[in-house]
Amino acid sequence: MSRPRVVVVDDHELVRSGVKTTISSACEVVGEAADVETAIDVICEQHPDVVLLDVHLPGGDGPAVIEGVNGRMVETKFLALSVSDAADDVIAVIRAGARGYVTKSIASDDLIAAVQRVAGGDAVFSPRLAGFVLDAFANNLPAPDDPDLDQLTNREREVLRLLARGYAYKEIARRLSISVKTVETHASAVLRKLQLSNRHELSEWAHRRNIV
Amino acid sequence: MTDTNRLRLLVPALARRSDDRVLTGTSAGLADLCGVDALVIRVAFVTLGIAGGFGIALYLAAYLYSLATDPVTGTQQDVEPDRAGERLFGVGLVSFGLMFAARAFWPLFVDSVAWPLAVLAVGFVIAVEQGQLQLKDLGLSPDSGRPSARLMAARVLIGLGLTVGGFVALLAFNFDIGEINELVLAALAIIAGIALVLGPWIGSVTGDLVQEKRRRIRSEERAELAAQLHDSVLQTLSLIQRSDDDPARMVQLARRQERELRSWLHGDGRLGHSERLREGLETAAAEVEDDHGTPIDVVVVGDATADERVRSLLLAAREAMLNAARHSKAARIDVFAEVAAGSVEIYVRDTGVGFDPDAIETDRRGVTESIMGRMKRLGGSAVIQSNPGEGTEVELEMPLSSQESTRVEEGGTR
Repeated sequence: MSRPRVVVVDDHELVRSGVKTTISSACEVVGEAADVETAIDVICEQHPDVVLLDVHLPGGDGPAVIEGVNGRMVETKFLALSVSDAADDVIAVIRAGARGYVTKSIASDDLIAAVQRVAGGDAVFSPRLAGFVLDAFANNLPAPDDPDLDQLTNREREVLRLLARGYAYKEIARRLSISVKTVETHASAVLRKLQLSNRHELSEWAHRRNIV
Repeated sequence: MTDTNRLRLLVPALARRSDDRVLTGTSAGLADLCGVDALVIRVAFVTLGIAGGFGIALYLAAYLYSLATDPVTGTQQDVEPDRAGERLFGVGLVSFGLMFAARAFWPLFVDSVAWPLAVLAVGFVIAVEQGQLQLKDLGLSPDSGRPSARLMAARVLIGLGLTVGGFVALLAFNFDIGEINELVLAALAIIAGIALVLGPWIGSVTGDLVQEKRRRIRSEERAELAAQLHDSVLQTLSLIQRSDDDPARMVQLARRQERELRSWLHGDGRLGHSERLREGLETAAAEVEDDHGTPIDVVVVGDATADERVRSLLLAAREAMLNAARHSKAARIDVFAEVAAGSVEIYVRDTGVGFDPDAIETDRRGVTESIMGRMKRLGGSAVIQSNPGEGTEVELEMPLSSQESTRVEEGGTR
């Protein structure tokens, strides 16, 4: 796989340099930014393959960056990288269009793999994100607009459960006797359903979940 | 608070000058406030004192009002040398002037009325203002070298005495009181004087106490935050700095600290309570992680009350985590729990060395008893999947009690 061009967006310099060191063996870091405005400028200038995006930023949050560059560069993918494990933070950035979410405690190899996967157009689920999504759909978000769209298929549920249990795509494929490509398709489908599901219900769910 | 603002205006920094004094330094202090030479004030006091005696009263009042100051730091005379002092002084002079005018043009306003009234007013003002000042000072800076509480109390008492005395004198001089009524009237006068003085004072005390309490709560919160940060974060940081030769230990320390800080920040007291499945599982994982240093990621979907079955399930899951941490040599353990309709499933997975379950099950009591036996006794099940070199996964399933599962189903079908 060719080296993906990456922009790192995080308001903590230590984190940026740490991430850069971590992924520099497999990726080309072409820019970095510490706030929303700079991030949008750098991304529009560099046209990176992947943006590693912190959920919380000065001058707006992660979703603001995605919305700021939306429509201007379709080829750029976003991967959320955060210490926050609050459900609504994570869901908000996914809904804005991020292709995945990993926590900052992720192992180096896993982070590189995640960047490459996102660069290739696939979705990246950390176990925690898989748990959030399962939780969201387990509460059976009613979808008045389009009931079919918001339901997960049994296979998708199965894939999510294995992701939440810590399985890698490859292991899931072997266990379910399907190809890795199929696993990726399921993951992307789940992501799309999450992005398209009823906004109001979802935020209500996230709100409820944080209270519990 | 309007009360406090009012005080700022009414109680100027009238500071006696211990470095420039004839009697008490009050004149010099007043001169500082008014921006004139001390000699002017002294002459004014002496002149007024000779002319009818209230130069003396005025001086006494000013003295009681003033605060001792430290000539070295000189902080008092620098504190807000604003217009309030001048205003107060001016108001005092004008009042006395009006009193004399009244004496001259209003025959009823004779000495026997004027002087008791003046004494009463001065006492009243002193008692009220000093009383407020005292509490304010104690709350703000108990050790700032302001006059002691005892001195303040003495001033309040003096003010009180003057007030009551003024009342009594006013009555005694102006009414032809019979022997029988005298005591009653005196008692009434004293009560009225006390009420007059203590009414506003008590009000201000209550206000000050409320403020004081608020301040104390705030500072206690700050202290708690500081203590927490010190005990945990700073200690951990210094530990990490010293254990640079042991990365695993550093990771362990950092993770434990992160977890503690999170739980403390969220204020949910998550660690140590296991009323719910989620809390219980996270607590168990945290304990194992602390003891063995292997990071454990816990993902929980749904939640359930920790009844007898769930507690057994949690103990079994804890045992599985312990085994993984002890034997697997994996870099990370993933724990996933899902509350489905009617049952709870927990998966404990590592990607470590693995083992042959058939070969080991007979001689390892931890697995057979703590996990399998425990689950089966309460109607659950446990499956251990492992192969040498491929890691291990323990699958635990426990049916929920009927009440709990009803609740989950209601939530699920909504």
